[in-house]
Amino acid sequence: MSSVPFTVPEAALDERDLPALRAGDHDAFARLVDRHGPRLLAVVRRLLRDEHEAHDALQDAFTSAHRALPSFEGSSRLGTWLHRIAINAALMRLRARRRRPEVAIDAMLPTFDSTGHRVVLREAWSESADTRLERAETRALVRRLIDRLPEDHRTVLLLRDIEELETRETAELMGCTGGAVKVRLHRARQALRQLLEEELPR
Amino acid sequence: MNDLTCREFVEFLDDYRTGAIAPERRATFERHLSNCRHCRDYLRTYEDSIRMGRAAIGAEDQPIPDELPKALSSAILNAIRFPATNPESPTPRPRPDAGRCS
Ligand SMILES: [Zn+2]
Repeated sequence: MSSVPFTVPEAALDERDLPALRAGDHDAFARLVDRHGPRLLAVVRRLLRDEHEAHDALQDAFTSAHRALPSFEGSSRLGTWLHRIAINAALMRLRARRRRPEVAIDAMLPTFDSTGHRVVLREAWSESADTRLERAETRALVRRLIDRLPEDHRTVLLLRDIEELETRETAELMGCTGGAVKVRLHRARQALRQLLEEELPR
Repeated sequence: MNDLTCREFVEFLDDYRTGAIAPERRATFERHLSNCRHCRDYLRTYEDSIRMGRAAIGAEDQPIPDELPKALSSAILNAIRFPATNPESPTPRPRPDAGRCS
């Protein structure tokens, strides 16, 4: 279950507009853009971290949606369907980007000695996440650390933990197996944990 | 006695915490956890990391705008009204060949 919040009225408005949308009605489409555009803009911003590219991706997404609407089956909510399309548009732009130099994920994973015990470099932090999260500077630090993850791992972390897609949906969008998504998600979280252990003030 | 190493515990940690581990193996994980402070710390900080990621990226710091910038919504509606001016927009289909996940 995705927990992306939709208010009931919004879904009801989508429902009401659906016949007009399928028929290509422009006013209905403009209302759709008004209703869903802001939330989808936040989604593509998170993935792309570039305002200009986010705008382009959102335009791609609505163009694709417009083209696909006549065949929209109605088996999922329109909002859920648009969410997937917007993510796909952002992923296409991410793939087209020149890859920035990045540190391999292995360097951010825990190491074990020959007896299978983890090599503990620093004591784990003790202050609770909730207390830390009250500080804006901690949240900014966490964002910077997530940005240090290799792009493919960062993407899986965002799609699974932030956008709350299922493993299967993430795999479809990324063009890989569910097994690969599970491995990447676990590594991405481990890497974030490791970076936090190194960087969080004690 | 531990019959699971820390390496194995850490590898299958997410299956353990999401209940995806066979019931007969579950006891092995719980026994390891009760005997190993490092893995207890690891589990706690792993879950903390997920929560911190969610809170840092989530809506509070990067709020959903009340409305789209005017130029953007006009650009979107124009692209739909006059699709010929925007011939290269991609279709909403996953691309298994994209190589991101190979
Ligand atoms: Zn252990």
